[in-house]
Amino acid sequence: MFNESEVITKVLNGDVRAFEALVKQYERLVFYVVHRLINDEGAVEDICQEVFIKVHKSLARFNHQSKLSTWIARIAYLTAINYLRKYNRAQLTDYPDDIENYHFTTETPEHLLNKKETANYVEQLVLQLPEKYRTVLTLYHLNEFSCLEIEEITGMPEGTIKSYLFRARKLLKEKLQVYLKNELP
Amino acid sequence: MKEMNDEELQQWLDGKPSNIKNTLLSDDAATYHNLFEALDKEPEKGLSYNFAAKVARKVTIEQKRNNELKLNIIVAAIFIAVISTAFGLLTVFAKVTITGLPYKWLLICIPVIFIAIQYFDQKLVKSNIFKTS
Repeated sequence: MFNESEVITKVLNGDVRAFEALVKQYERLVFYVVHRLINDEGAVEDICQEVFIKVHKSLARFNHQSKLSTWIARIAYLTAINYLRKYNRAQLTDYPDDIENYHFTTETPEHLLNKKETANYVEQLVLQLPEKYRTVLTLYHLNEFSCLEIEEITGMPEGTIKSYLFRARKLLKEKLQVYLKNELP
Repeated sequence: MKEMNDEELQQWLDGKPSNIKNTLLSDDAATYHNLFEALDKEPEKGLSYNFAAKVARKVTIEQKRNNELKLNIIVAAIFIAVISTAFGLLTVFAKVTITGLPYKWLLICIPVIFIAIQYFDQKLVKSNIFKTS
């Protein structure tokens, strides 16, 4: 059983094993955030490593006002965004006003045929969404954070988060509906 | 089941309704249900199996390096303080200036050589050991 405050105290006292346990506990959370934001297989693990090194360095400043998972997710989010700003501005797209008319590039018939599974197809669509939409969807669905926690992580107002979530899911639903109709005999 | 709009459907599925498989769903509701399942599905890829151990090792190395750097700075400071005090005492009590000392260069070079050895030991030798391990 992972005891958050006990592990934090041990890490602050220099216990490397406790830090390893902390990494094991939150590596999936960090991976989901970084993987969805940075579409670069080679860079993802390095950035996850950078996130945990930052966590280790600044753990003494963690004030227990939020959950440790929220705090770590914020570090992961900011690290990934900084990476995109530095190396890959193309992925840091501004959100179009009319997300409903967002253009996906995977919808060639060959590509649709290759996407056997709905989950894979949805994953491909999500990866093409603007970064803020990807972030909100990932934090809400994969990491199971509430809208308030997402506000704490990203700094976006709760209303905006709810709006992004609704619009992104509606758009994905429409694309998926077309896909499923084409797939089913 | 009554027809719900997109907002209502999303809210309904956010509440994780139970026994959904036995519910007769509209086309929209069924698609949303598929979508939510896909969004909740964890990616097949992940980090390497020993990721946590690798990060812990990196943190240990960094800590060790920082500790050694602190130690070297302290040792260098002590060396400089001892030499300065010795020179100071000689100047005050024996009325000998630094330029008048027979082995002055040797005395000045010892701490400089010591600091240089420590620096290169850390920079070259230890960093290569860590890279290969």
